[in-house]
Amino acid sequence: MSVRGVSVRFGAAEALASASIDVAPGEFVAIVGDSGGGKTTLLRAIGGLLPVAAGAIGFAEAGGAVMRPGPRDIGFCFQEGRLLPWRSVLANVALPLELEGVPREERLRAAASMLDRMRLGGVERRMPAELSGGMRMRVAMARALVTRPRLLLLDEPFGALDEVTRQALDDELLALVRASGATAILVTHSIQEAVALADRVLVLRGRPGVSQPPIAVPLAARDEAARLSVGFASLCAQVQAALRGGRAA
Amino acid sequence: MRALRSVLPPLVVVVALLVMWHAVVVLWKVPRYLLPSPLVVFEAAWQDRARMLAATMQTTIASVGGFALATAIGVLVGSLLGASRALQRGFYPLALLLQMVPLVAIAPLLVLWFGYGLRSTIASACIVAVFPVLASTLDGLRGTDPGLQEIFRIHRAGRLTRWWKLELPSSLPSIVTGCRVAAGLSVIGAVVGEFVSGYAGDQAPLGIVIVSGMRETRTDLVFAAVALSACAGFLLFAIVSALGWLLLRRWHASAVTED
Repeated sequence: MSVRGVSVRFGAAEALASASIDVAPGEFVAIVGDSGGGKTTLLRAIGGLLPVAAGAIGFAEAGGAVMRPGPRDIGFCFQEGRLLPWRSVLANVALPLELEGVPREERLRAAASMLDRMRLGGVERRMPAELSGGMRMRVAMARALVTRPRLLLLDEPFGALDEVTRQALDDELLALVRASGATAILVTHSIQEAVALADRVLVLRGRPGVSQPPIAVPLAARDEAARLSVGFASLCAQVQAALRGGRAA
Repeated sequence: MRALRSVLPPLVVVVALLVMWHAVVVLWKVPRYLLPSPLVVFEAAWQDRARMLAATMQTTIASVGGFALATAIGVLVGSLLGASRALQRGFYPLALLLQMVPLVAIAPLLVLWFGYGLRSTIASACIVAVFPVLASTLDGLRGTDPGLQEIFRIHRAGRLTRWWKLELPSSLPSIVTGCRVAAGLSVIGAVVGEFVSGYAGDQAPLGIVIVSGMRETRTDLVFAAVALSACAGFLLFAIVSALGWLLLRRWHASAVTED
């Protein structure tokens, strides 16, 4: 996935000044930045929801060309979950396949097996309103993954949840993404979450944001112990420093 | 117990009002042609029960027909207007203006166009009931969550798919509210239409019972017909509310908290 010198405007206002990053297949990249700095804007531009004013976005092809991703290539997961409240969990997860014209039997089977993989088989027939916030986000995650996308775009997916639920879901997310082999791009306002999940962290600084050189996260393990290690703390400090615009302490 | 708690208070109020009404008539010796006591009204209705029942049936059929037509037209036209800003700007004020035309004024025209009888009264019931459905459909469509719209946009869903699978279901709570209002109104529209276009005879609807009751100073029958039309309106409203509750109960707060 290649993002080259992308800027986005809303009318006269520039929402994102310049962002560039090359993401390798299967890589997990987190985007952090000041609020109003264009993190979500960048993610939405990558997903094709916003037109770019300058630059190019796409899967890198042989010969240096970029190809725009199609709708089935991308799985989107939003902070609010965005489930259809009048549909059961199963029908919600099947929705992307339904909109892509997959026959009913097939899409329900695919949705059910996705839910099973996430140990959500028991809530298939429940309605979103009957689930807890964390449960709803897991269903949203299942929906994002049901098309087996090459690229998973996560817009502060667990931002509205409490810390404990969020950490549990982070771990689950990481396992799912690795198992699916998808490339993942996560927007978050939490530096800890970014460092805990990502292979590299992209910092957007300023308003509108300008991307800084990505920070690699060379952590071997991604468990509770790793999050308490000195290495983890110094990586967080490094990201923090990049955000402030100074040198790492 | 819960059912009792919601039925008992209005029942007590109604019975108390009837008792007061009766007391006023008896104490002040009000003549029957001015204000018959509730007992007299009930007695008159009972004596003429075959005719009253037929009349209520006729009016109910006209109301249900008008309501069904209004729901279909309201949702369809509301959806068309909701699909296009230009259409909405052009037609919504017109729909609003039509709503302001008094039904009594157009009722004679309806007779001209549809003849005497059921077709005219269905039309007049439909005319008063259509606007709340149309307006609530439009409101509901405009209130569709942009976040959910985006999900459909990501997958490049077409206009019709978005309407059928997203906008219409998301408008359902609003449409149900509009239909509840329309249900009550449709009975009013039917009775007013019957004043002008109803058949006399043994299948005469409630509107005609009222008109001929006034002519023959059978005030008791007028009261009975008024009470029956109110009951028909209430019943229709209750049925539409119950259907709405069934549709929404699993996902919408308005249904979940209803008692």
